[in-house]
Amino acid sequence: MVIQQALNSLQLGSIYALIALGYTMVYGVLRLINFAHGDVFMVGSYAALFLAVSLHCPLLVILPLTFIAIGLLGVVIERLAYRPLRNAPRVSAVITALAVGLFLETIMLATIGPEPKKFPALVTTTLYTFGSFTTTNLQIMIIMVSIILMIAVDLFVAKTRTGMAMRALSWDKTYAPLLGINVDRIVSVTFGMGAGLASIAGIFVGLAYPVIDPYMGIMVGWKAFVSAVIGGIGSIKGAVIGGFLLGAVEILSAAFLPSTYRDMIVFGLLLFILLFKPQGFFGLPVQKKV
Amino acid sequence: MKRKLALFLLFSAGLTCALCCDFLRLLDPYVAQILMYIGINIIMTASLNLVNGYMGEFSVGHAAFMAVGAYTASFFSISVFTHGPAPVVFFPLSLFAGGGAAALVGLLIAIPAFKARDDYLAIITLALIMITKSVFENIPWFGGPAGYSGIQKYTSLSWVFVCAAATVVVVRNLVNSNFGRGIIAVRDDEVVANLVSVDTKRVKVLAFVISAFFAGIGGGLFAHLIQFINPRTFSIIKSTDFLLMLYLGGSGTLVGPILGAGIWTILLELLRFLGIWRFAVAPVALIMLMIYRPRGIMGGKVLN
Amino acid sequence: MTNNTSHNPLFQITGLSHSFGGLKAVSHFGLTLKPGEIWGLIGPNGAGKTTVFNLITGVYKADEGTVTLGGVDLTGLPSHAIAASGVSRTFQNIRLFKSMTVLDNVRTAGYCRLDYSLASALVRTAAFREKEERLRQSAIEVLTVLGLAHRIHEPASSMPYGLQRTIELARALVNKPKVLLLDEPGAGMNPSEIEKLAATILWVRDNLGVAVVLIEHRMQLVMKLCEQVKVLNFGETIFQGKPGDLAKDETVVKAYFGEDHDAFVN
Repeated sequence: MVIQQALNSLQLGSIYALIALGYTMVYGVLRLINFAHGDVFMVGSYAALFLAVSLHCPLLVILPLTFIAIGLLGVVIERLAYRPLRNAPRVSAVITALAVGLFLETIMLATIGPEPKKFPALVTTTLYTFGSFTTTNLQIMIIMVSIILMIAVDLFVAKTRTGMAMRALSWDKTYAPLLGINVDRIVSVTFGMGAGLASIAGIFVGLAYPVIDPYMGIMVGWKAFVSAVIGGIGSIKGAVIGGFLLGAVEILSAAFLPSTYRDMIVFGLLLFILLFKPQGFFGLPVQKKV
Repeated sequence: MKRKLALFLLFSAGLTCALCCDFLRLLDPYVAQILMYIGINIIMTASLNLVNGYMGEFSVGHAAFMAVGAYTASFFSISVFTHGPAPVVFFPLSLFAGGGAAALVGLLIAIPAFKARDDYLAIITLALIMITKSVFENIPWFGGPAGYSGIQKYTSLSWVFVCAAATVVVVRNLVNSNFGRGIIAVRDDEVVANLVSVDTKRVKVLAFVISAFFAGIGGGLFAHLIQFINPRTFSIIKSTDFLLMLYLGGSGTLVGPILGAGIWTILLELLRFLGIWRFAVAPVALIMLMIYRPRGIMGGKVLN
Repeated sequence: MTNNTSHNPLFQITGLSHSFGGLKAVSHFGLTLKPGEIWGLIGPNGAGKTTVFNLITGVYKADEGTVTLGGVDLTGLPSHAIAASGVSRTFQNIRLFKSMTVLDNVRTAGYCRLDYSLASALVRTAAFREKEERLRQSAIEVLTVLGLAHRIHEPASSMPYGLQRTIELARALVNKPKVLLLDEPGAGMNPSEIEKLAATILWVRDNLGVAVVLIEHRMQLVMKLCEQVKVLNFGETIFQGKPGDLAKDETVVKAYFGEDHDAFVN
C-alpha cells in the first residue's frame, strides 16, 4: 500500500517537477515568474495529441518532436513578448506573462473547443503486480524518463558552457554580459528547455490521466509553480524536490481525504512551509541591506 | 472649499441620474448592466490599487475577498433577512456584512505579508484563492460545488454608484493622510520607513483590511447582480482581470483604476462580436501596451 | 519631570555585540552620550560602523548589549519605536522615498507625531486638518532652515546629490530627535560643501541640543566637528579619545595602513 502510493506520488511528482524546472530556470535567469508556463504545458499536451491522432506518430517520435516544437514555441514567446520588456519594470513582465497565458488558452479554446479530449493510449499497458502493489509499464516509463531528464538538465547546467552561463546570469545579471555571455542566446536556450520539458510533462499527463482540456494548464501550472517555490525558486534541485513533495502530498491527501479537500491541503501546506522557510528549501535567504 | 462643493455637486448629480435610471427605467437593461459591471470593476480595481499600487505589493488574491463578500452578503440576504425589513434597508447591511467578512480575511493575509514580499506574497495570495474556493466547495449551506442560487437582484445603478464613489473617496482620503504616506513609504523603502518611525505592520494591516473590505462590497454587489455564484467564479482568472485593469489604467494613481476598469469592461463588450476570440485580441492589445506604455494610461507608478 | 541636566548621560550603549553566522561583526561596543556632544565613529571599511548604527536603530537585534535613551530601554524594540523615541539617522547610500516629493519625504517621518484615528482621516475632521497642518508647518520650517524652502514640491529623486543629502537630514530632524546618527554625511562632497555641512551640523547641535554620532572617512569633517572619536577595527573598539590624538596611536595607524605605514594623511 505504501509502495503503491509512493509510486503514484513519484509519477505525479515527476510531472510537477518537469514543469517546475521550467519555472525555476526562467526565474533564475530572468527573475521572472513565467505565468504562461502552465499554458505552454497544456499546448504541449495538445500538440502531442495532434501528432498522435492526426499524424499517427508513435510515442518514440512524438516525444522528441513535441519537445522541439514546444521548445521553439517557448523561444518565440520569449522573443516576442518578454525580450522587449527585459529592462522594463517587473510588473509589466508579469502582466505580459498573464496575458500570454490567456492568449494561449483562448487559442486552444477557439480552435479545439472546451470539451475535454481523450488522449490515445500510445503504450499498451502491461500490469505488474508485486504482492501489495500494482504498477504499469507506463508508470515506470514516466518515472524513469522524468528522472533521466532531470539528471540531464542538472548535468547540462553544471557541466556545459551554456549551463555555466545560465548560472552566471542567475547570480549577476549586470556583469555576465561583460564576460562575453550572449544574454539573448542563453535566455532563449533557457526558455526553450523549460518549454520542452513542460511539453514532455504534457505528454505524460495525457498518457497517465488520459483526459486533457484547455484549462488544465492553469491548475497544474500553478501547482508546479508552488513546487518550484517550496523547493526554492531558482534552484534546480529545489524544483525537483518540490515537485515530488507536492506529488506526494496530493496523492496522500486524495487517498485519505475527500477530494474536495485536496486543494485546501496542498495550498495550506504551502503556506505552512513558507511560514518556516520563506525562501523554500533550497532558496537563498533574503538579507536586509541598510 | 470650492473643490469640495464641486465634488459634492458632481456626486449628487451622478446619484440623481442613477436613481432616475433605476426608477424611471431610462436605460436599456443591457446598457444598465454594463454600467453596473463598470462600477463594480471600479470598486474592485480601486481597492486593489491600495495594496498593489500605493503599497507596491503583488497580491493576486483579490478574487478571494470578492468571493467572501459575495457569499456572505448573499447568505445574509437569503437566510438572515428572510423576514426582515425592506430590501432598501437590509441590502446595505448585507453588503456591509460581506465587506466585514472580507476584511477579516484581509487581516489574516496581512500577517504573512509582514515578512513576505513580491513573489512570495503572490504565492500566498494564490494559495488564498485556492483555499477559499476549496472552503466554499465544502460548505453545504452555500450550495457547495454546485453554487449558490436564489440571490435576488438588489443591485442597482444607484447602489453601485454610491459604493463606487465611497471606495474612491476613502482611498483618496487614506492616501492623502499620515497612513497614506506610510503606505507609500512601505512601497518605496520598507526598512527605511520603519527607521523614520512608520509602524509598517500597522500600515500593512490597514491597507489589506480596507482593500479587502471594499472588494467584499464589490463581491456582494456582483452576487446580487448575476444572481448565481459558484466557487469557480472567483478564480485566479478573475484576479487577473483586476490586475489587468489596474495596470492598464495606471496603478498608484487615483484616476487610473477608474479608467482601467471602464476601458477594459467596454473593450471586452465591444469585442463581443468576436466571440471567444476577444480573449485573444485583448491580451495582445495589453502586451502591446506593456511594451510601449508600461506605466498604463495615467502613467502610474511602477516598481523595478 | 525628572531633572535631566547636561551632566547626566542621555544616551547609553553598553556591551553591544552581534555576529552574522560565525563572523563577529561588532564586539562589546559601548558609548555614553550627553546632550549636545558630537562623537566620531571611524575605522577602515568593514569595521562594523554601520552595523553599530543598524543595531542601535533595531535593523538587527543585537546578540548582546543594551541601548537606553534618557533612562528608557530601547534594546529589542522595533525600529519604528526607536525612531519615535528620538533616535534619527541618515544613510551611507542616500535612501529617500523616491516616489515622493521633498516635502512628503520629510512629512512621512512625522508619522509618530500624528495620533489621529483612521476614521478622522477618512472623514477629514477638524482635528485631522489641524494636526496635518501643524506637521506641514514643522516640515516646511526644517526645510527652510536647511535652504530648501523653494523646492519642497519637487520630486525628491530629481534633486542633485548634495541636496538629496540635505533632504535626508531634514527628514531626520523633523521630529526633533535627541540623538542623530549620521552615516557618512560628507560622502561625495567637495571641500566647500563639507564646510557647509559642518556648519549645518554645528547649527543643529547648538539650536536643537541633539547629540550626534558621525561615521565618516573624511578627516576634515571629523577634526572639525568631533570632540571625541572611537575607532573600530573588525568590530572591536581600538581607540577612544580626542581626534587630535589619533595619528599618534600605533594601533590606529596599523589598522588603517597595515604594518608598513606612511604618515597619517589628513
